Amino acid sequence: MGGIDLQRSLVEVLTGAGLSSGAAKAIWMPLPMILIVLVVTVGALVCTWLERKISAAAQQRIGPEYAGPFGILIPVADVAKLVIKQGTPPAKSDPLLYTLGPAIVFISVFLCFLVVPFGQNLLISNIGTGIFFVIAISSIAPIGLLMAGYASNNKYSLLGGLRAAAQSISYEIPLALAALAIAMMSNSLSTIDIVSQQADYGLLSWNILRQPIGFVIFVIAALAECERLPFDLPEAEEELVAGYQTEYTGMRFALFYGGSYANLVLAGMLVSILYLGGWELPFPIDQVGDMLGIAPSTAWWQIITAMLGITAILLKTYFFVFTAILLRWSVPRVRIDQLLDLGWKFLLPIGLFNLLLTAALKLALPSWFGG
Amino acid sequence: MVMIETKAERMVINMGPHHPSMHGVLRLIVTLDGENVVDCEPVLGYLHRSMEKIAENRTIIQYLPYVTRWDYLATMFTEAITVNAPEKLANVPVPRRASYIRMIMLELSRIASHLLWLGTFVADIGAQTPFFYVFREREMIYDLFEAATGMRMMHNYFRIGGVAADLPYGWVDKCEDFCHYFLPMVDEYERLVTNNPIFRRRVEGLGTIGREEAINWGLSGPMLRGSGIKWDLRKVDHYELYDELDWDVQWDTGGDCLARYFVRVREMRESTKMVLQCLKQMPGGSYENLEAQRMQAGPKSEWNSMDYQFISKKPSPTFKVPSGEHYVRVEAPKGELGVYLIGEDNVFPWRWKIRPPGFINLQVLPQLVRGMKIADIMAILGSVDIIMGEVDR
Amino acid sequence: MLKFLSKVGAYAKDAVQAAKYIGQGMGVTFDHMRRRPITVQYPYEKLIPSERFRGRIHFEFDKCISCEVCVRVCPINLPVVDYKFNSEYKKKELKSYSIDFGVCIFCGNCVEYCPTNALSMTEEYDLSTYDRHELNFDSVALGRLPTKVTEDPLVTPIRELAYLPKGAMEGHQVDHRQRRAGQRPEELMAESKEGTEA
Ligand code: SF4
Ligand code: SF4
Repeated sequence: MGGIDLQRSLVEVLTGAGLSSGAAKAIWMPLPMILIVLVVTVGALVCTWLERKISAAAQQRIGPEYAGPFGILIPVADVAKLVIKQGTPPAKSDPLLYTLGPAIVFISVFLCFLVVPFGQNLLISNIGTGIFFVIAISSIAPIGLLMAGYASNNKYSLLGGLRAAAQSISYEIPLALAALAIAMMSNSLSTIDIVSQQADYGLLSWNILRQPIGFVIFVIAALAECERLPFDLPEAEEELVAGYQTEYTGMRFALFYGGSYANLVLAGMLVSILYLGGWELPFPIDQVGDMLGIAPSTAWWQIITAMLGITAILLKTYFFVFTAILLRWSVPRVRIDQLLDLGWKFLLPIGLFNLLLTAALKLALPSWFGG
Repeated sequence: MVMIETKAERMVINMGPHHPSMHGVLRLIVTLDGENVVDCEPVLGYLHRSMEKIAENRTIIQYLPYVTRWDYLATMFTEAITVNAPEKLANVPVPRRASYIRMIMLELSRIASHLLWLGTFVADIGAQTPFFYVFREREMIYDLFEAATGMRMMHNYFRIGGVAADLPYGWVDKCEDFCHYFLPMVDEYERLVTNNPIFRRRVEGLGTIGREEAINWGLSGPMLRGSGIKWDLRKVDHYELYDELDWDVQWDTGGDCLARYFVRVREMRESTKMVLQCLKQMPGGSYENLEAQRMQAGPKSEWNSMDYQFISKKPSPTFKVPSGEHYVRVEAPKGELGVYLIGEDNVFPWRWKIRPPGFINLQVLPQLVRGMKIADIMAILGSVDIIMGEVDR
Repeated sequence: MLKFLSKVGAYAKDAVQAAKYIGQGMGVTFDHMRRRPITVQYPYEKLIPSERFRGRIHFEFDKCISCEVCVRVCPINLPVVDYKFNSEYKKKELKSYSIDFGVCIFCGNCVEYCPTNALSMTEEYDLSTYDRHELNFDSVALGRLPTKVTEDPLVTPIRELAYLPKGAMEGHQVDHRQRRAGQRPEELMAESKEGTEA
């Protein structure tokens, strides 16, 4: 178990410069948080740009073109526009809930990134509950949606909020079941352990091969949790105008918008961590290092592996994002009863079955399914 | 299925006239019980422009530019009915070539209308991309229209006794090109939409209208043919020269939204084939060929006879609608488009009653959506295919 | 038990089929990603309006005989023909003529019925002003000719479908100077002559 430990290095440097170790730690503390918030925001912005570009390409259009090379600055323009736009709460809305709603959604998504690693030690905190922390926190978001829907004093918003609540409750369970099967295999809930358990044989040891059913369940449920087409019922434009965000503009809308794309990034990262080997490359990098005769503790080798790892996890994440976007522009939307049917009558039983199967396989083939 | 009895207060929501998926400015007052539709009441009239009254103080020539604003997606049909009505009343002959040109234009217009219907219908149930694809092909049809008539949508092309002008050079070739290009494109739409499980589940068995019911409601067009009735005015009324073409009425027995989808998609294919046949059988062939023959054979040749004209006689601005009354109809993409015309030997018609297919088809909507989910309103409304321009007139 | 298993089998088959068809749909959208965008980047690219295009109306003052036919065939009697009867020559003298393009629907009736061809339609379609009264063109404004799309150095002209060579379906891929589909009647004649001689 190698990997660089930035915290220790930084603390060592700072104490070397004459600071007490407590002060050095205090300086360290906010850095990763700010970094993560920035990275996630940029990731979400890239997502919005990708959405435009991919949808444009799929529809034989060009998409944003003049704002920067390939229109890459369009998300910046978007944010700038939304930030300076006046917020207009509707009459008779509940002002407190109206503002709180988007904030809750946004915060809950960003909190989840606490436990999402970009590399061996590149995460804010490696807490033991890891993946369940994500599932728990992300289910706070529907409360925010419900608040927004209720506070807007608009019937469409209310319907959208209710749909969001119903949808997220029904898809939380299959999501958790799929994650549980993974946790069972790796004997841990920690995201780090889950990835390191997939490290041994490169591509061959990724969980997608051992958990194909779980992978499908997780992807479907994650899409539903992100409220993306074909499951974007809470904001179904053709039915509910814009669902819970009907009455939102300006910064509050930006929170919803940013939150939903950050959620997509989160889903992509979770999929890559749980099923696609996280920051592991398709070939075992440590063995390559051994073969080349480089000690795993060599500094430059560590930096290279860390870089490759970050690239790998981002590639995997954005592959998921790409698929989700292409899917969004290819399929119609399901109906609310069909959505719930799919959740309760299809994913839930299959999820349970998958759990049982994993348990059985774990007993039968402990070497393959984590003894 | 046993359900727990809950008593909830019903919610009345107002869909339209500015709802993103309302076609035009239709307004539906929907009573909801949770996600279920209890009642639905359409409110019309936001696009009412007194089209019938306007007709009563315009000569037919003056009125022709107006009619493309009834059903602005199947514009050629409104023009066809507007010239057919006085034509039949005054017994104006239509040259064969003109009739063929008319059929080409009508069928192209039908394709354009069905294409846009397909786009909005699929967009109504959430898939946005086909909308862009159908526009690609629809633009081509409009390019063809623009070359022949001068405008993309508001053509003003049909005239009493024929059409305004012959086809331009090279038009026949390009129209053929389009037909050959278009058929594989329909396959592509079908690959994208038809078998998609989500699409299937959203439309199959939805909004079913039985055979009897469809007749009793006075439905027409794909709404009627989707319910298992082989009724197509092109075959029934034998107007223009449709009898000279080899084609079949497209119909289906399901009676649901899926059946209507199938009928329309098949009609697009059939219309393409009809256009190809027309291009081949048109007397004189392409205009450049006709010109060449005329140049070669001199002014007295058969190439200048009635059959090869694009119009029998240019109508004078003071064309009088003879006295008498009658009802004329054509098979528009949305159904039976008719005009009840009363003339009194004046330049203005005395009465010009329009029978728009969309208006008649729309009345069945409330009974179809009752008891469905709110999302189904869009799917059913989409499958009815209304254009507010002609519903409200 | 058997019944249950067969049900599960059917379910699985359904799911596989669903996945297959969704994949097929995504194949279509994915395939479009490699096709050239068909959008015309107005105002950097412009379509060349067709020859029969009914744009802003051009009026030749000297040709007009003040017969007012254009007014009578216009759906809204729009053209304003201001004339005075000159008793000396026994003729109508046109004083001014105007059409308000804020109201005109470009139906072309006036052009079609004008007995002296004083009216014609240009290819100008982008009539936009800050004040709608600026669209009320008098006989001087009506006499101006629009700039051609093909002669504007800032614009890439693109042809519409009907003017492309045979077989070409997309204006972007064809140079706008290429010859369009269809032969000239003279060529057809020459061809048929050759045919009869041979
Ligand atoms: S184009 Fe039509 S509307 Fe315009 S002035 Fe001429 S006749 Fe009137
Ligand atoms: S119809 Fe022609 S000649 Fe007569 S008034 Fe109008 S523009 Fe002048």
